[in-house]
Parts: sequence; C-alpha cells; structure tokens
Amino acid sequence: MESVEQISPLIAPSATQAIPHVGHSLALEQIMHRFGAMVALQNINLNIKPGEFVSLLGPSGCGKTTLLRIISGFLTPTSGQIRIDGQPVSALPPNQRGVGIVFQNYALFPHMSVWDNIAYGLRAKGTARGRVSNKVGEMLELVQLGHLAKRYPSELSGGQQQRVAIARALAVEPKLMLLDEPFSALDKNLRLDMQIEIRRLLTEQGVTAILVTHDQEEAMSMSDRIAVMSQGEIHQFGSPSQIYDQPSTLFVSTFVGTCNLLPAQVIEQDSASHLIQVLGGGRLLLAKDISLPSDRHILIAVRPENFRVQSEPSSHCIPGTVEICLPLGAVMTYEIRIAPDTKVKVTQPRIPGVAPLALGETIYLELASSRACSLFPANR
Amino acid sequence: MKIPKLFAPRESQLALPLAIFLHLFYVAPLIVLLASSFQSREGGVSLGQYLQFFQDAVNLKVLADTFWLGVQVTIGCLILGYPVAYLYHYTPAKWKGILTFLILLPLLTSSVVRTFGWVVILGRQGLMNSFLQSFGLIEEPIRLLFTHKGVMIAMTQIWLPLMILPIIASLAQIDPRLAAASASLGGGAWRTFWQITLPLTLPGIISGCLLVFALTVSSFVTPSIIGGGQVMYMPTLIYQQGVVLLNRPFAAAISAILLVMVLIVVFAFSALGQRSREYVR
Ligand SMILES: Nc1ncnc2c1ncn2[C@@H]1O[C@H](COP(=O)(O)OP(=O)(O)O)[C@@H](O)[C@H]1O
Ligand SMILES: [Mg+2]
Repeated sequence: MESVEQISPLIAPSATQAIPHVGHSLALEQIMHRFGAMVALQNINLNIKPGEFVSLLGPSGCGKTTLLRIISGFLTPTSGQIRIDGQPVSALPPNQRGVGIVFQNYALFPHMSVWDNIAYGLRAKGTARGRVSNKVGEMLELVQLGHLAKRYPSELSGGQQQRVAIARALAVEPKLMLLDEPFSALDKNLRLDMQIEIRRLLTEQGVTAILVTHDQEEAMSMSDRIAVMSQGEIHQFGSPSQIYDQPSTLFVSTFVGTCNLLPAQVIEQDSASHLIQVLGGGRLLLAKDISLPSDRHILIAVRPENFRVQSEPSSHCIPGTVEICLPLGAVMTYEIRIAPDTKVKVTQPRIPGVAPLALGETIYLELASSRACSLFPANR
Repeated sequence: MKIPKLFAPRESQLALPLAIFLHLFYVAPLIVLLASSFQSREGGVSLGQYLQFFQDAVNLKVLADTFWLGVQVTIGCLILGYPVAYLYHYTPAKWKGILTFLILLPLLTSSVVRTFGWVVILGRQGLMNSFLQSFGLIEEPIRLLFTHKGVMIAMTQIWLPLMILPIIASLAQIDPRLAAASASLGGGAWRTFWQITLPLTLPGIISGCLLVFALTVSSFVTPSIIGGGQVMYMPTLIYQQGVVLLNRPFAAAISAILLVMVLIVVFAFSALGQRSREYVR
C-alpha cells in the first residue's frame, strides 16, 4: 500500500481558496430508503459545504447509486429530507432541482453534435440564442474541445466524450454536480489525466461535487472529504487522511488501504497509556488518546507501514519470523509470522545499501508511534 | 466511412441454403414474370402492355388509389401504433406478456377470418353503425363496407402489429440514462420526447412504415372482400386480369408496376433510415 504522502489530494486546498465560492451546500437528513423489504439506505446524514468535492466510497452494491438517484430526484426516499442551500428540495422533480449528472457511460445524446449536446440544457431553460452560443463556446474552450464542436459522440474518444459530458452538465450552472463512477470506463493512464482535469475544472468553477466510486485511490486523490459507505450506511465522513489514519470502524480500516488485524486484550490502563497484550504473543503500549472499546477483547488494526522492525527485543514488541520477502517498488513487503496461525504484513522503506531482512530471521515488531494503530471491539 | 464486412466468409456459407431457395423460388419466377410483361400480343418483345396500362385512366386511378391506401394505412398505423409501443415500453415487466399477446392478436388469426370480422363490423347494420347511431352521432347508417374508407380501417387494424413491433424494438435500444440526462439538464417530459426519444426511434418508425406500406399495397384478401369488387386496387386488378380474364402478359405488367412502386418507396425510406441511423452508433 502507498504511504500517506502519496494519497494527499492532487490539488492543494490553498489552490481552491483564491476562487470565490459560488457553490451551493447540500444537507442530507436521516435519509432512509427501502426497495420492497430490502433496506438499501439507512440513517444517512451528510452535510456538504459549498464548493466542496466529496466522494462516496464503498463496495459495489452498498447503495451509492441509490443515494445519487435520491439526491438528483429520480428516486423518492422512503423517509428523510434533502436540502440544497438549506431549502428542502424533496418536492422538486429532477428537471427543476439544478443537479447535474455525469454518468458512467456519459449518456451523450448520440444524434446530436458536441455543440448541440452542450446547448441542450441551455435551450431547455429557454436561454436566448446569442447567450446559448456564447456559453457553448465558453464551455468548449473550458474543456478544450472547440475544434470538435461539429463531431458526433460516436466520433470521439472516451476521454473526449467525458469532457463533453462535463461541459454539458456545467453549461447550465448546476447547484450540484454528481459523478457516478465516471472514470471506470477509461484505461488507467487516461483515468489519471481525467481525474486531475475534472477536479481542476470543478474547483475552478466552484461547483459542489459528489463523486461515487469504489476505487479508494481515486477517492483519496480527488476528494476534500470522503464518505465511506457499507451496506447502506455511512461509516465515516472525513478528510482522506482522517479516513486513512483514524478509521472509525473496522470496515473503514480494512476497506481503505491494507490493515493487519490482531486479536488482543487490554491488560492495563493508566493515566498516560494503555497496555495491550497481543493474543499471538507480545505487548504494545498505546497512547491514551486512542479510543478504547468498552470490551476488554479487542482487535488492533495496524497498517503495514506503521510497524518498525527491530533486531533486539524491547519491553513493548511483538516477536516474529520473516516468512516472505517481496521487493514491491518503493517498499519491501514482508510477511512476518507472529504465532502459528497469525501472520502480519509489514512494509519497510527500501534503502540502497541496507540489506533486506533475511528469510527465517527472528525480528521484533514495534509500533512506529504509540498512535499508529486503531482499536475495535472484537465481537466474535 | 469504412464499410464493415457483414459476414465473414465462413458465416456467409451458412446462408447458402436460403440463397439457393430464394433464387429458385423467388428470383427465377420474378424474371419469368418480368419477361412475360414485355410480350406483345403477337409474341414479340414490346412495351405494349405498359402503354396500355398508362393510357387508360381507370388503371391510373387504381394505381393512385393503391398508393393512397398505402399512405393512409401507414399514417394510421403510425398514429395508433406509436402510443401503444410507448405504453408497452413503460409497462411493468409482469404485464408485458399479456400486452404482447394483445398486440400480436391480429397476426395470430387468419386473414380471411379477420376480414369477415370486419364485414360484420362495417356492414349497414353492423357494429360500427349501430354504435354510432345509438349515440346519436349519425342519423342514417354510413356506407363503410365496399368503400375505400372501410378497406382502410380494416387494413389499419390488420397491419398495426407490424408498426408496433419495430418501434418497441427501437425504444428498447434507447439508453434510459439519456432521458435521465435530459431531465437533469432541465428538460421536461415533452422536450425529452421530441428531442430525444422520437429521433432515436426513427429507425423503428421507418421499418414499421416500410412493412406496413409494402404489405398494404400488395394485400389481396382484405381489399377484395371488404372492397367487394366496388373498389379496385393493384392486387385485385392483377387477379382480375391474370386469373379471371387470363390476360397473363398484362397482369405481369401490372405486377411489375406495383413492384416498382414498392421499390421506389422502399428506397426512399431506406435513404431516410440510413441518415437516421448514421448518428445512432
Ligand atoms: N430499482 C431497484 N429495485 C430493487 N433493488 C435495487 C434497485 N436498485 C438498486 N437496488 C439494490 O440496492 C442495493 C444498492 O444498489 P446501488 O445503489 O446500485 O449500489 P452501488 O451503486 O453502491 O453499487 C443493491 O443491493 C441493489 O441490488
Ligand atoms: Mg453504482
């Protein structure tokens, strides 16, 4: 897994501050939705600030698209309220909500030229002819497709189609922009380019945007904040580094990045620290401010890069033997057996001249810092 | 524009039996028919049969009536059929089966039976007249049987499924997200229909119109029973000349003229269809 530095947003927050906020806020209050007896969404509360770029991240089938359809008005939630700029919008049909959508397959109108696709929403609003052509020209320039205005969607590449879709949605100056897995149809190199470009476009325009994705790297690199979803619920809503460093549930810690889960027991708590006994063997000392589940039986979640490897035992370490050693790009990845039935994944920076750990070597794992882990109740 | 190869060589061989069948039983008789239309009375080659057809105003009226009937029935089927296809498309899956059955019903009965049904409906004392009279819409029964109007009404019902089915097929091919995209851009239901749905179903409309027109102008049973010999169309004229009067070369010439009329309409529509399909992938 990457280190935290690599997954900071592509665009630094300071770049966004120069732009006047023309964005709109979105509030979801107690949204619940059922398809028949199946609960697709429950207890959804989300407050999105004007101009913010938020990702809904979760595995396939967790209800992301359903939530987007509710926000855009194509689906009426079983209960709950949606507010844009504080105004309830549940009663408004999709064509009056001012919510732009970029679909996974772009959904460009195949029988209209690029120009007509972009002009569609302006014409629907009854915009004067001169204004329409000015605005379309402006949008074409924004997405750098002026030379392709007369082409039909079938004559464009995937990336170009996506830019048309963005331009078409932005032309009507929507209050919100929803993007449902917009990059999944693009190949990997193009995907990265489009991620950067679309984030830049939306930030420049000051549009509040919600991106749906099941790709954690995409969410991490593009978003101001991420809402991690599982089985119709939002588990955590926070900045990419909060999500990565302080996962609030076991699901978040395992879904985002790689995590070692070790069953453990709290054996001592004093004013400064918690002493934890790892069930496989070994002890760890944690900072007091790591929140402790009420139960004594816990799972301790440690990211592979948050272990420090020592050759000598210390008072708070986990002993183990090196089983597998993989040089993966910038890091060395090891599998360390700490008990007959427990292995952990550990990554260490790869430094030229420093010999990697030898297979079969006995080593001692310490936490890189006394805060470099999360604790969850072990309910099994 | 690249012209895509329709079939790989091996796959084209699969069509061989059909090709042989069509050549033997369709192309060959057609050639014989065309050849016989150029026979003069004395047995030589001439355009005499065609001249005879076009010199007689009665024949020209039959040609015009046939064309007009085709146009009317096609328009009638389109106006009645499109809403049905649209309804079908938005019907929940569990009701689609019964709707399919209802749509196909006219095709599931023999054309003779259907036509006699219409005789009962359209007659002087028929359902149509008694219905209109009982509501006070007309005083005297109107003449429908043995008129052009009656033939048109019956044919519209009979060929309706062939308009509905291609339109259903083309509606099914439209990505539902296009309508959602239209709505999210502020387009209301009417705009979405006129700007998105209708243009994208044009290929289906064109196929439907082609089928209905070609089948209408070449129908024989319905025009002869409902028309009852009072109104004449090309197929009934061919029958009269070829089978009743045994004037085979003349009947062949009329057939050829009918064929050319259908072909002209087919080509005109296909050209339209080609244009409408160009932008749809
Ligand atoms: N129209 C529907 N009717 C019934 N169930 C649905 C419908 N749409 C979605 N679902 C179900 O709701 C759940 C969430 O779906 P969805 O929002 O599409 O997930 P995601 O976009 O996160 O992959 C899935 O279990 C899916 O099967
Ligand atoms: Mg989805």
